[in-house]
Amino acid sequence: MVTALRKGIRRAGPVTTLGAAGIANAAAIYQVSNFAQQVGTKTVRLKKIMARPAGGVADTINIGTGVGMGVFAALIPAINLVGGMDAEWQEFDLPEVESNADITCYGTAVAAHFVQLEVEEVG
Amino acid sequence: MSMHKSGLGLMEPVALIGHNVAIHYGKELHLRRVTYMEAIPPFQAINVGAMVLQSVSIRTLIPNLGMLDNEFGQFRWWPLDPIQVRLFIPNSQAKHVLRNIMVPMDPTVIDRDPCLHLTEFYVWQDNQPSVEVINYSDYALTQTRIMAMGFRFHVDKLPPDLEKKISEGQEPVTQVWCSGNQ
Repeated sequence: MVTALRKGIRRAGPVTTLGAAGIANAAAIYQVSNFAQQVGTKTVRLKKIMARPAGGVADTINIGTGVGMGVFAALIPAINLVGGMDAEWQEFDLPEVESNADITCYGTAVAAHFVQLEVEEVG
Repeated sequence: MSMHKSGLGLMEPVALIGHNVAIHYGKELHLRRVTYMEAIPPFQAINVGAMVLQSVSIRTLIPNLGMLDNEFGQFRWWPLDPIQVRLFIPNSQAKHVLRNIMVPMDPTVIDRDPCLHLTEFYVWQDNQPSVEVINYSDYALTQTRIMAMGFRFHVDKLPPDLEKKISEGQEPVTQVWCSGNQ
């Protein structure tokens, strides 16, 4: 019960095909709720990541907030996408990071990876 | 909430057959006796429908929570989808009102108050509630559903002498508040 008081709502972000590689092209993979008429401020905690490397080519993906050099801030370390493999990270693999901004992602060297998040929305 | 203590644990009827109830609806007061009651299992009271991102629905009546003549309903409820919901009973009277804000319900109530005590409201006859649904997120929703459950009570009028005794505090009575901001 006590821990449930901080429990949020589980939501899945859209299946996103990333754009060009590089920090300048980080794409939103989960947009935080900031509607002026909502009651309360929403944040999201990263709970699951599913990713597939584009064309089966190995790369790393970077998940954080913001777009561009000096703006993008990593939420977690860059993670490896193994060539030709599906990649899945569950809640117990991930640190309890929480963000009040849109979550963005980019491939380090390869364009058009596929990424989807599950988050817990709190607030 | 009515003027009774909400029992611990799962939902219980506010009154039993044979109990006196004072039904308040706006400025109306109806002194009645419960002659029949039955459970209303959890059901989908309304689906307000698809909503675009960052939007508020029009205030929408919930006909499925209307009662027959001489009946009142006791309901607890929760949103099934990731929405915030404002409740009105009737259409013009807000429920869950503080001085500066009208507090909405969202699905986290299921974790924070598993027996849904904090959601309880009452409906007198066909004076059913309305809701405004807020899709606060940056994503569209294909449905916005609200679940409800509770009890249905049929009530009969009391003889005048008994009404007098209740008014004088000589007979027990359960207060049931069937409208919003009273």
